[in-house]
Order: sequence, then C-alpha cells, then structure tokens
Amino acid sequence: MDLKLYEYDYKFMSIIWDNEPVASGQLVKLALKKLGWKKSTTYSTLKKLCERGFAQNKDTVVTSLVPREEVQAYASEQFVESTFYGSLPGFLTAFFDGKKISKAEAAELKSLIDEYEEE
Amino acid sequence: MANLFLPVLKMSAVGSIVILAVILVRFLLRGAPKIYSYILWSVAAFRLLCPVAFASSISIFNYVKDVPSTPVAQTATAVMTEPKSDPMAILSAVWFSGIVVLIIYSIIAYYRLKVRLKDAEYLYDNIYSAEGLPSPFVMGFLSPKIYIPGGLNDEEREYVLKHEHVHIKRGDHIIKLFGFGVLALHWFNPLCWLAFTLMSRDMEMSCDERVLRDGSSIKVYGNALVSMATATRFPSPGPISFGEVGVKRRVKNILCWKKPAIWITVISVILCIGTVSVFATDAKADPEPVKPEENIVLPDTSDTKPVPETEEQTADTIIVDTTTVDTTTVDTTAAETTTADRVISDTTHIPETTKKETDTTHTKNTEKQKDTVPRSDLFPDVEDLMEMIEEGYGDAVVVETTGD
Repeated sequence: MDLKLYEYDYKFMSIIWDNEPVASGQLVKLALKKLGWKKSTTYSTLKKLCERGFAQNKDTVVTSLVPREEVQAYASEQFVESTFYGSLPGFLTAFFDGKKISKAEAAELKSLIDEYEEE
Repeated sequence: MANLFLPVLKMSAVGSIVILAVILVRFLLRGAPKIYSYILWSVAAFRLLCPVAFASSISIFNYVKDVPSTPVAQTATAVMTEPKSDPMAILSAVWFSGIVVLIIYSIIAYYRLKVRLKDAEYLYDNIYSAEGLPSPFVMGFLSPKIYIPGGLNDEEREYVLKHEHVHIKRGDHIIKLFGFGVLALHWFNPLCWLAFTLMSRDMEMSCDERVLRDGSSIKVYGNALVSMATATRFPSPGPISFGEVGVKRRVKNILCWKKPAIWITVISVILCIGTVSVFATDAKADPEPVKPEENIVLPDTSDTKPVPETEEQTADTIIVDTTTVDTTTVDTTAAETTTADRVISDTTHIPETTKKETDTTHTKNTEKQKDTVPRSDLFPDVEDLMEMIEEGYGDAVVVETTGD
C-alpha cells in the first residue's frame, strides 16, 4: 500500500486520528474549523482516502485503517529523501537526528529511565 | 585561488592539532556538564578561521615546530611558496569546487525545506506544526521559527518546545550555521567533520541539561524523548547525518546528569582556560626576529675584522687592516712590526688573494650568520662587493663588478 500523503490529506487524517471514532457530520465541522474546508471538500477527500485504504466510513462513523506512526515513519523518510537528498542538512538545528529506534531499544531505554531515582 | 587555499591549508593543519587536543580535554570533561565541552569547540573554530593569534610563551606551538603557527615558518612559507606551480593550482581548484558544491547543496536543501513547510499550520508565537517531519527543528536565523511534527502528545510537545527555546536563546541555530560554514572551508579535513559531529552532540546534550536545570523532570523528559523516537516498524538504517544526535546517547546523558558540584565546575573552568591559553595562542617569536630584507640591504656587521683572520692564515702575505681607512693608503708603520716576508703597501696587487681570502672570510661570515639568524642573505656577492667598496679595494672591485 502506498503510504504517501500530501500535506492536506495528511492534515485531514490527523483530524481523524485525533478524534476517532468520529461521526462524519462531526468530521465535517472539525474540518471546517481546522482547515476551513467546505462540506463537499471534506466528503470528497474522505472518499479518496477510503479508496486508498487509509480510513473507512461505516454507518457514518469514520475510523482510520492505518496507524499514525506508520504513516509518520514513511513520511519522515520521504521528507528527508526528497527534501534533503537523504540526510538532514548539517546547518539545521534539529531536536534529534530523526532516526527512529526500534521498540526493543525503546523498551531498554524506558527501563533505564524507570530504574533511575529522581532526587 | 591558491592564495586563499594555502592559508586555509595551514589553518587546517593547526586546527587539526587543536581538534585533537579538544577531543582529549573533552574526554577528561566527560563527567562534567556538556556546556564546557561545547564551549571548547570555539577554540578549534578560532584556529580554523584565524591565521594569527596572540603570542604566548605557554602556547603549544612553541613545542610543535613543524606546524605553520610560528612567525619564522610563516615568513619562510610566504617567501618560498610558488602559488603558480601546477599541483597547487589544481588542488586549489578542487578545494574551491568542494566549497561550491556544499554551498549549493545547502541552498537547495534550504529552499526545498521552505517549500515543503509552506502549508505548515501556525500554532502560536513562532511555533508551527507540519506533518511528516522526521524531527522538530528550528529554522530561520534572524527570526527563528520552531517546527514540530503533528501527533505529539502534550508532554512531548512541552519538552520539545522547552528544548528548542533554549537553542534559540543561546543562539545555537546561528552557531551551528557558522560551524557548518567553517566545515565547508575545511571540507577536505576529516577531523573537521568529526569536530562538527562532536560539537553538535555537545550542543544538544548541553541543551537538554539546561532544560533539566530549569526545573524539568528527568524521567518525564527522558520518556518524551524515547516515545518521540520510537518507530512502530523496523527502523531503516538511514544515511549518516553529520551534526545530529542519536536518542540513546541523549537519554543516557540526561540520566547521568546532576547539578554539578562546585569542584567539578572549578576544574572544568580551569581546563577550559588552560586549553584556550595553550591552543588558542601562537608561539613566541625568536629573540632575533628574521626579516629577509635586512640581510639583503644592510652590510655585514656581525663580523668586525675580516682581515686579521686572514693575517693568521697566510704567512707569506700580510694584508694590513684597512677597514677603518677609506683611502687606499697603507700604514706602513704597522707592517714594520710584523715578521712577514713581504709587506703589501699597494693594495692594487691584492685582487686575487684578496678575493680568495675574503671569500673564506665571507663563508665564515655566512656561517656565523647562520648560527644567529636562520635565513642567510640571498645575494652574498653583492654584499661582498659592497664591503670591498667601503674598505677601498679600488681597481679590484671595478674588475669584479663588471664581471658580474
């Protein structure tokens, strides 16, 4: 499945991820508020995303089909690839290097943190 | 081009030594707050950009002689280099191309980023949110903006913003750009790449420490960092990015951090000042500074009596010392006190022997010169002639000058 999302589709999916499960009517209101979209725009984008497999609209309730982290990971890779030819440029002050750690490493670090006794 | 490349090459050599030193001191400071390590990199940057520094007797370059950071070496290389020689011209061109490539890449990357961010959602203050960013970052230099990816939870967002605010307050985003500029100039030097990577690490970790010092919880901050960095799928190895810091190292660092004891601060400050004094200074100049022009222009004054030496060498002929006399007359009374077979009263007969003897005395002169002064004069014959003119050897001189 192609995980590529353009900026506005991505923002729309964001609303779904933040609010799911969400009634389609409510979704329209949120899209208007956050993105300034008309009802027709919202429905056509929703239809497109459902066709692509990102979301589903069952009995007017909308839920996502792809977890946010997956799309995010893909998007970050894409971001670095397409914008920077493969690595964050040296002159940029970034929070971290963008290289994700595996769940196993994360668990290891989390246990280190838990063991730590705060003063 | 070679005129620019050569100084950069020299500074790179000097800078390499300083970088190694900073790495060593940084190792000594590994138990101390990272701010000191971060500050130390400024010494390396200074040496990579400034060809000269204050002279000091405690400079390391008093002891490292083959590195072009001493006045003698500088004048020597200045005089002896031929910038127009082919290998140098080619290397300079390569160097310049490298810089151009790096700059072009950066400009393209910067504008692509701007385009990518134009749909970012404005939150408040100078904070924007954009989807699919690999990491939060600061962009812009005069009015910096913070960009964060979507989907951060409240804790993550809080700490990210605190962290980025420290960066902006400290001017890190400008320092990093500046560092990248220095790196571009010295792109051919792998130690500089290493220095840039380590400097970035120290920048990030000292920033974390500052956030913690301002009152944040280590555990909460650590967890936020980990959750932001976790991938749900297998993380792709990714290319090496120079200048960014891995999450593991950051977490381990904040777990080791504590408010530093006074003695750690004192030692760290001393080490920093020491490093600056020893590595940010040049060697003290030699007691008799060398200036090539002096040797050429001024007559030889280091040897006062060329003639008496030859008096000792030649038993057959005696040349009376006429250095104090401008005329060609000879004081024959002085000759009477000697036991030589022949006294030369008319100096016009001297030419050949004179020439020989003054040559030997001259070599003695230059040897003497070499002892006290590293650079010998470039035109010995002219000096020789000038001496003779002054001492009044008349025709001999005329013959020699026309033959020159």
